[in-house]
Amino acid sequence: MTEVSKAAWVRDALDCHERSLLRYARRITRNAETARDVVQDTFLRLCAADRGQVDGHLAPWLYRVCRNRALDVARKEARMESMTEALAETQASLEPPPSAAAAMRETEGLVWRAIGGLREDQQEVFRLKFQEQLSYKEISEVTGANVNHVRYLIHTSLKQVRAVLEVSPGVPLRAQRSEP
Amino acid sequence: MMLKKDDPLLVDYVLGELDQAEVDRIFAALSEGDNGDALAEIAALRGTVDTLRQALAEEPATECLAEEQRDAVLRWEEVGEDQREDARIPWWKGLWTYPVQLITAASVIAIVVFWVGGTISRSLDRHQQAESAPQPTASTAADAQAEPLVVAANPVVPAKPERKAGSGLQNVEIGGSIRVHGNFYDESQASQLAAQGQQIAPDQAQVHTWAAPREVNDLSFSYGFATGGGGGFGGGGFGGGRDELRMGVPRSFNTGIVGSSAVVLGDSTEPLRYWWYSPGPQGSGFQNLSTLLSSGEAYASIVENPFARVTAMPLSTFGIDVDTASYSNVRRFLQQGSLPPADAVRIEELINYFAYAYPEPAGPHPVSVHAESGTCPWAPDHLLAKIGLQAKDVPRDARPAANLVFLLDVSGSMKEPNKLPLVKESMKALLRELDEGDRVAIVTYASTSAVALPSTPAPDSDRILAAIEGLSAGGSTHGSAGIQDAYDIAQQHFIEDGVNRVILATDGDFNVGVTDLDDLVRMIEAKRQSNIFLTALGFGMGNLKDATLEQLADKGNGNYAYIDDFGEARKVLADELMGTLFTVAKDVKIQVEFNPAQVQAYRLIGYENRALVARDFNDDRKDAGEIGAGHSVTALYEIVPVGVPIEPGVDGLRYQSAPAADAVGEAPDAGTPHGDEMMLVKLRYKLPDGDASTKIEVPVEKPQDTPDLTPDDLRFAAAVAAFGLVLRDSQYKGSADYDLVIELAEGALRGPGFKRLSPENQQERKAFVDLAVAAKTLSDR
Repeated sequence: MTEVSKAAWVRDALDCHERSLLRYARRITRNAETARDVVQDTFLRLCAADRGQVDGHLAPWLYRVCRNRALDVARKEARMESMTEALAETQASLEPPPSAAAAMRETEGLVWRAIGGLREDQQEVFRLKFQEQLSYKEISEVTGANVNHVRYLIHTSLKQVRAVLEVSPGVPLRAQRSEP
Repeated sequence: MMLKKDDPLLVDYVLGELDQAEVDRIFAALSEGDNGDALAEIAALRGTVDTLRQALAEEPATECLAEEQRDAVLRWEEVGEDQREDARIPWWKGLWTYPVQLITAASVIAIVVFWVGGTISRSLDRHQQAESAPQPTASTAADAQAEPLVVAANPVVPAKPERKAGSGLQNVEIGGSIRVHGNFYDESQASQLAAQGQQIAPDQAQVHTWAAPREVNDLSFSYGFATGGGGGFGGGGFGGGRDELRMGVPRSFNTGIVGSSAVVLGDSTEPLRYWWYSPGPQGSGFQNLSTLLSSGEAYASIVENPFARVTAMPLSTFGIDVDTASYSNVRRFLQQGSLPPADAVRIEELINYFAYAYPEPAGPHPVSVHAESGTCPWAPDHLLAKIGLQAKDVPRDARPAANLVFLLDVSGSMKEPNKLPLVKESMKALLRELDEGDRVAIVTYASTSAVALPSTPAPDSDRILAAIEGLSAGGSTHGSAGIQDAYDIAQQHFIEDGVNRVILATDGDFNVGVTDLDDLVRMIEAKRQSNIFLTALGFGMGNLKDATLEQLADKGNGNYAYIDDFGEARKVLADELMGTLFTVAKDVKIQVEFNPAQVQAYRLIGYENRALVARDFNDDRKDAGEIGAGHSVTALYEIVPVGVPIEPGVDGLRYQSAPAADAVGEAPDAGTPHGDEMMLVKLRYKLPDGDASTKIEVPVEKPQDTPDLTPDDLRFAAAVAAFGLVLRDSQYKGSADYDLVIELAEGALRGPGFKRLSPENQQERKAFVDLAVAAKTLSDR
């Protein structure tokens, strides 16, 4: 087995994960420019990393590094910001992004509202699960929480979201086919 | 065990978080007792989870790194250690510790185990096939006496022959429903039997009594599990008299609803653990059903044509195939960085994706036949013969008027950018090609169907464009509802002597039950009689139901293309509009008779699902492929000349003189050896509105001293075939590898024939070389 060059490996990782990592980082840093710095640094870390340690679980590795970097920055910046501002932005960030909002129909609006109702720690794992499609185990690698706690968070938040979606009248989750 | 509706395991199950043992326990629990609540809960959970995934996927992830940031990362390898300090390292560096070591070794192990697990199930499969020696094909209805030998069987046709072929597939009818005749064994029984080297002759299958094989009888189940009104596995649904199992292709096992009320208990990570015994020369042995149903995409299993001995089977017969979907699908896999599953690689579709420089038909026929041959690049003792058909082109202004009805899947799954938006672009490209006299209608279907645009004359393009712009995706899929409307509209505006066609665009996620799909196929077949044909266009990825679409197009006298980007859309809809839509000949069949004085054995490369029995060639009732204006079709035979040893060695025949030149059945002047002729290519076709077929015959001389594949077209076709063989890891690939593919293809690019191709066709060939290089890189990883 010949290996792809490290450069090609990094390029592939970049192509695959750059955008979703930026989306992820931006939610933590709440600033596009800072998110870019964080993601660039994540990939520079990847360049320096021992490939054997990363191969096979590239995605959780990237999210973990990205998360830690982003949190560091966010914490540091938060100290300089007033807390109210930060809170306001948190609220704003729960709203669906504007371009999506334009195309969004009712069900999706509800989904966003339901997600907005989750606690922050729930939201984080919820997104990693349903947006980035990571497994419980991978999520636990990213956030450092243990697997059971991740599972608990997913279960409770899913229940909560379902409750919101199901009590809303007139929004079929999935049109049921009638019996033949 | 009763499963409670609120058992948290159900959530983990739906999220794909359970290991095999836990999944087994859930399966076992669900199959006994009354678990309707739990089943309903699983369906509801899947619905919610899909909705969530869809909604979250909508959130744009469009931001990129700045160009210089990206460069800094990519240049990292090139710059020296000291310069790296200059690369932008953010100021917060040092605030944290680097976590590589913290990442648990356990997860590495888990992932490795997962992969090994995947490999085992495949290699086990092969191992078991290898262990069970080939069987005499007593129950098969081949015209010639098949030798009971590996090299001797042509695609075998089952007792109830329709259009199924490929020996391992002989009991399986692929499509919306898969019918498997035979006994079923669970995995432990199967591996036990295989390990004992046990075999079951096809005609004994029903009386076999080892290890209490489970007989499954006419039970609808999906992806390994019983659904619907009857019991589950282990329940009361088994036993009884019939030996037919009907298995719904898990058309929507990602969404959890199949048919009317079924809950599918597998998902893309769940292998189907039932095995069936497949008699036949090649596929003999236990086969894992999961090979049919890989990940979310369903492909019909392909068992390649074996070598056939000319003395036993002098005739090779097949219907043509002008589909090209497999090539763009394979390209999509490679561009996304993975090798395609073997069953997604249909070699004839790869070959037919490309244009070859065949001369236009000059005589009275709408189709001409061309043949050339040379040394087989991956087996230098063998020859490679190429048969090319060229359909006449129709000048644009002579094109008959078109009555097109688009049937568009606008379910939620079509929302992705490479689906509905691409469909819209494709339609706009097509619209530019239409003119006066043509009509367009649009029917959409999701949970319900709607007529988005009644049949409208093409010059009224404003109205048509507005309708196209107005399309949006949402809701679940109910494929059969709209198709009736689409055909009705096509019927109402039927253009006599024109092109009347329904164009289905979908990701194939038909939510119709098995019976519904059968009905659908029957309806499409019936409409074919009234000269309304069907074109199927596959879009998107991850959920593509390749087998269903191919079957629908096949039954509807249509064609099937997979569209992965706008370039492909333009190629299929605008550039090839004439060919795709205007059929110049239908039921085109090829029969090749080999001369035993020259040829010892032969193998048709690809066309596995197009094989016909020899007598079908002259039977005008047998349906076969269509060829459109300007289209070409290419088929390759690998030929073992007389005097070359065949592996594995076979004893000579005692009662048959070899070469048995006078044993050939149907030659017009049987008994005359036609010494230097290698083969006779016979073609039958009907005019589009005709019922009686016309025959063309072209004898092919053996190549005179051909040290190399000189004609560029032959060399390029050989490169594409070799590519397919390597991608499939075919047992017939000989010495072929990606290097050979690249060498052959590049050689063909340099030859004089290349310059005769149109710029687009040249570009396609160049892109092929890039694709082969990409595949090589991937396989080297």
